[in-house]
Amino acid sequence: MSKWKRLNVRGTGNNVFSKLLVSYLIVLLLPVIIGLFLFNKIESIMVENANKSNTTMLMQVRDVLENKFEEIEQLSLQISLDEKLNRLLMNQQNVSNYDYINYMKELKRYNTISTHIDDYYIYFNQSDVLLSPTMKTDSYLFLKHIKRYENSTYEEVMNNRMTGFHLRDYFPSEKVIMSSGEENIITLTQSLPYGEVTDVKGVLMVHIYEQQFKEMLQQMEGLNKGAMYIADEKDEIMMSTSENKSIFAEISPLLADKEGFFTKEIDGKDMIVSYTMSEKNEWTYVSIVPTEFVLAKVNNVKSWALSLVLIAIIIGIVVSYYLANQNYRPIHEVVNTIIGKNTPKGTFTNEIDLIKQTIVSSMNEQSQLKRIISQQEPVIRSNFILRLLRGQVDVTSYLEKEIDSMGITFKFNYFSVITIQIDDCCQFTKENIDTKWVLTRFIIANLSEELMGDNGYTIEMERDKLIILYNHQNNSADETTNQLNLTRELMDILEQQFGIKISVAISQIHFGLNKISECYGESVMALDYRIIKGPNYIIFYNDIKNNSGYDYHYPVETEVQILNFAKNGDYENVERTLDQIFSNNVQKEMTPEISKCLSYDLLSTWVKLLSSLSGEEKKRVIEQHNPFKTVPECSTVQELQKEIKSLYYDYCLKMEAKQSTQGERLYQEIVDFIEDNFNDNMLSLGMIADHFGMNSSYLSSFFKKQGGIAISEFIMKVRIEESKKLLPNRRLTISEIAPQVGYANSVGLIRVFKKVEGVTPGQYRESMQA
Amino acid sequence: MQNNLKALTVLFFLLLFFALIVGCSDNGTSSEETEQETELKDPSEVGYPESLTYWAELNGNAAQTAQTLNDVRAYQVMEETTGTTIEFKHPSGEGTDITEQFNLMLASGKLPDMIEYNWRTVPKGPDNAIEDGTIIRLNEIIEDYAPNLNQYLNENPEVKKTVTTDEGNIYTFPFIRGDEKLMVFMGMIIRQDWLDTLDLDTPTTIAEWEEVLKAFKTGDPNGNGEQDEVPLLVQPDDFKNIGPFVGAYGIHAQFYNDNGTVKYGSIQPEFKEFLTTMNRWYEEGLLDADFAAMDGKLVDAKVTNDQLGSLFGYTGGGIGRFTGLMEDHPTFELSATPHPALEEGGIAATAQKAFPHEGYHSVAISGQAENPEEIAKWLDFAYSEEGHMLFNFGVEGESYEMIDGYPTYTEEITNNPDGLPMSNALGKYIRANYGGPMIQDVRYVEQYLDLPAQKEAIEIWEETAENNINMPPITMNSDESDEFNSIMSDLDTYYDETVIRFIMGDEPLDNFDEFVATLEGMGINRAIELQQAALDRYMAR
Repeated sequence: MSKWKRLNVRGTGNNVFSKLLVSYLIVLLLPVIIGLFLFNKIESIMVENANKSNTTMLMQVRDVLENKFEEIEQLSLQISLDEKLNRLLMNQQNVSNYDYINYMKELKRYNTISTHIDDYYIYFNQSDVLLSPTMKTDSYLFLKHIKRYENSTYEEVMNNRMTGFHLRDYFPSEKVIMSSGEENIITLTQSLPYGEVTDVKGVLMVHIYEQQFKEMLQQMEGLNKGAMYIADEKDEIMMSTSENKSIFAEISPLLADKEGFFTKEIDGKDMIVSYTMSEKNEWTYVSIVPTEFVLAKVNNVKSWALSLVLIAIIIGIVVSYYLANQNYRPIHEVVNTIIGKNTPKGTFTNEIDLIKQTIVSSMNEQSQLKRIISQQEPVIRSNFILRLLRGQVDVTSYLEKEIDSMGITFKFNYFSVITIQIDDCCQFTKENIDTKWVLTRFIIANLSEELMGDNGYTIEMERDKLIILYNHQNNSADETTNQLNLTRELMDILEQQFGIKISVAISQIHFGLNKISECYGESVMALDYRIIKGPNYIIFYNDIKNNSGYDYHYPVETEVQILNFAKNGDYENVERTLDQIFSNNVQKEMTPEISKCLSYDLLSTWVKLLSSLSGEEKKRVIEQHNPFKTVPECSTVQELQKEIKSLYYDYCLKMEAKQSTQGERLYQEIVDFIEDNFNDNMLSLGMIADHFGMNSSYLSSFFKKQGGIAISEFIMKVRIEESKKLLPNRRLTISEIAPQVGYANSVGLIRVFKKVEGVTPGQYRESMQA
Repeated sequence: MQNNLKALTVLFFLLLFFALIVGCSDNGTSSEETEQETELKDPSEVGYPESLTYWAELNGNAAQTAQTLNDVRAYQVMEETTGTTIEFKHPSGEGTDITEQFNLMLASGKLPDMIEYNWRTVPKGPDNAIEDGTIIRLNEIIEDYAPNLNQYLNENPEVKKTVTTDEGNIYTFPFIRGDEKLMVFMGMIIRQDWLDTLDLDTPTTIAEWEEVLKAFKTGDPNGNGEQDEVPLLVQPDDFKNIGPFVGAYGIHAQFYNDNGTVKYGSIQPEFKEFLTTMNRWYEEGLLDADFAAMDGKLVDAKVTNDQLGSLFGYTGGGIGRFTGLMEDHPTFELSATPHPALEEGGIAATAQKAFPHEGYHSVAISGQAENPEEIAKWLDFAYSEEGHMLFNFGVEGESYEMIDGYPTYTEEITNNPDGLPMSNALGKYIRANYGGPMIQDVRYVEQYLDLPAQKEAIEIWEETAENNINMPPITMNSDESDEFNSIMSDLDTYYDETVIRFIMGDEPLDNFDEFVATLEGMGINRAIELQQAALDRYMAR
């Protein structure tokens, strides 16, 4: 069922199944055609052979019969040349009866010579004596009572055969009546003496029984279904196995050659007529055998072969169908998978075409997707690396796969960070400064990526700063040297080819992803030494970490980090950062003075943090810790660190506690601020943001979230409410009220009032009085 | 794909298997080994054999309708009864042809199971054939496995005597004439209508014969106005072996038993008298000028041409046959004449009279037969009551009906719808009319000879000869027979030729003494001695 459905769905004859089937059938057809061709050849050979063997058989019969005739003729010759006989012939009237009887014994001797001669007689003309090996009589008794020719009278026989000259004359088969019955007899006559033409004294007569020859002919296969004729040189039938002599008359004109065969329809039956002519006496031997009999074996073989071929074809077709179905099934399944239950769209010639088109389109889609992804990759990558550098990534939660998906592969687990500071940018263009920077960064990034290969990832950090995250095989001096060489090469190329001058800072090699931020810090710290070392120089953190101790490292970036962590109450990170700063600086073996400077630096950061606290709280915190007193009093660096840490700790504790109510408080502060300053004409979102040290857009959304209305609307509301308080006082004009509620002139107030209240301030005042 | 391969492989092997079956089905040949039986079997265990080969002459009476004896109803019924298929081998031709082919068969050494022949007269005799292993001695086998024949022989010691050799061997399953009437069947036959036409009496003496023959010659009894009548036809062999007219002179032309003494008739003076008479008759044209150049066809021709006045012939093949052939003739009538005597009231010394068993149509079992006991059992069937009826009368309902306890031939036999003469119609069914390994029933001949003239003939011929001098069926031993044959073969040639010449006048009768002297010179006396010895032994059986 499903197969037919499939065929119907695909249209007629053009699907893969039918193609497979057809190809199998063609393969099947080849041997069948070859077989049929061969069979045809063989058949014609077989037919020819059958006909030939038929003719050959006829020729054998001819030879056998000829031998018999030959034998008979030999015998007749022997008898004819017998001396005693000739003596008798010469003196036939004078010899005694006994001499004839005596000669019978001689005659008897010939009896044993030929087994096919039944009767032979010698007739003596003058004495009218007829001798056979067993009797002596006269012609009358013989021809009347012993052997009577049915169709010839005594006189006719006497005149035609018993007298006159005969030389091996055969008289065609004739019916002869005897006391024992009737027989068809061929008569051979030979006048005596042999060779004597005129003075004929007798005759030798041999009777050949047709029956005997017929029996011999019966050996010829199929003759009992057909007939055989023997005709003499005058085309008279000498003997035949058939009573129907007219058939021969039909055939005789066709017997042109010495031998051959042809088919002829006789009495509605196809007959094969074979004939051969005797070389001896020009007799023609003709056999007529039904074609079907001659070709019976051939036809038998033919029907066998044809039925075998038919069976083979049927089996072949079944097998072809089976194989085609077997091989088509996977394609069918694939097609089903592709199109599902939907009717396929578009035009296609067959299933294979459908599959091809489907694959091509899905490949297109995939490559498009890939392109999109690859377009996004650098951004994602640099974003990720940036976060790695800043230590904002929880390394443990990242799986290698996810990293891979961003186009980042870390072959090894050792890292270092190279920071590139552009000292002098590209000289190519002079017009646009921004474009110049972009170009420069692009050149450096490309070049460095090219040089470092997979080991380095370059990201743009700032306008004049690039960072290379370098992946190391191990933590060895070779690696460092290698890295240095690469960096030098980079610098050389940049300077010589592009005229770009850079400073490079290289961190130490650290193990593990989580140490990348440390690397970054190191490189940034090293870069700080640019001020000391000058531009266009490679600075190793290794070189600067053991410096003389007159400086310390506390960059602005780190301070921002601390501020951010602290404001969020994230002490853990604050402490980590602090530890880093301490360890960095302690390793440098700071001098105490420098250490104090760092302490104040850190303290001032802390004080900056306090600005987020209310005045009272600020005061209380300062009083509680009294840092300005305790910090300078610290005698050791450890003490100092502890003190500073505790300051941050308390702050973070406070911030954490405040975290929940902080939003509300901030909102209240903003509201209070607005209510205090609504009469200030300059009051705006920007001013408030400045006042609270917040991003204006953040503030806007924060306020809307907390208060439900936009901050500008809130300001407007406060001013309208205030104006409403002032409006009943008729002594004040609208123009006088407007500045008092923060509007530059009356027009602004009126427009806003009308918008909010639906009426003008004048109208509002009228309504209040009424 | 693997499934495909599997399916194809299975298919392939199926086809291969099919091809093998077709190819092998033809080769079903088997070989059987046969074991030679040496011990005599228990008679009760012996059954009929499966198949047998049987060499026998196909008698003319049967040959008319049968290609082989298998076409004869008696054998067909016998095959149904016994389940034995017989492969008959028939020699072609007749007379000496058969002797020739018989000798050829013996020489070839390839013998069929059964051979039907006159074993009594085979060269070197039957005892020698047994000794050679050509055939086997049957005494014990008949006793044990052929109860019917055994019983008959025991009840008829005279017959048993004829089937036993001087050395006491029974060598054949014999053809036995079961009645005296069956033993006389030849004699002189005369055209009764010619006698009547010429108003003559039936001749009884030589002189009367001469008168009658002369009358036939000159009286134009056939009424055609020509003197073409042939008054008498007797062929030389009949004179020699049976003795028409010879018997009138008190002798037999060949060996005869003159009270226990063997004599050779042709050297007796009486024979010269006989020859003188015949020579006179020949010269006068009474005896057929071609009497010595005669075959059956010519005899027929002379009878049917209404030329022949008298002849020596059979009751059946003569009187019966010619009456049949000439049934369109308005007056044709044949009758038997008494055997001629020399004197009025005399009696012929010898004439045709057969012995119950003479050796003809008797079957010997070949020395190469593997199962003589079974063959004996098969052959004995013909001597049983059932077989006796079958071979004498054929099939009840077909060829005969029992009327008042008498097996009467049906119209199928007596008035054959296909126009067959009775002898040929009988030949289609039975063997009684010419002989075979069986006992001939007199009731056959009683019906066969349906013409009154035939029945008369038997009586006339039976009565008018003494037949005392006839030689019994003696057997000679191997050496005797060798010697006898070697003497007689040359002697017979000379004898035949000379006797004809005497009769035809080619040789003057004055030379009769020379003839006798020549015969003596050729060893006729030794031949007589040999015959005498055999006769003595026969008498002593």
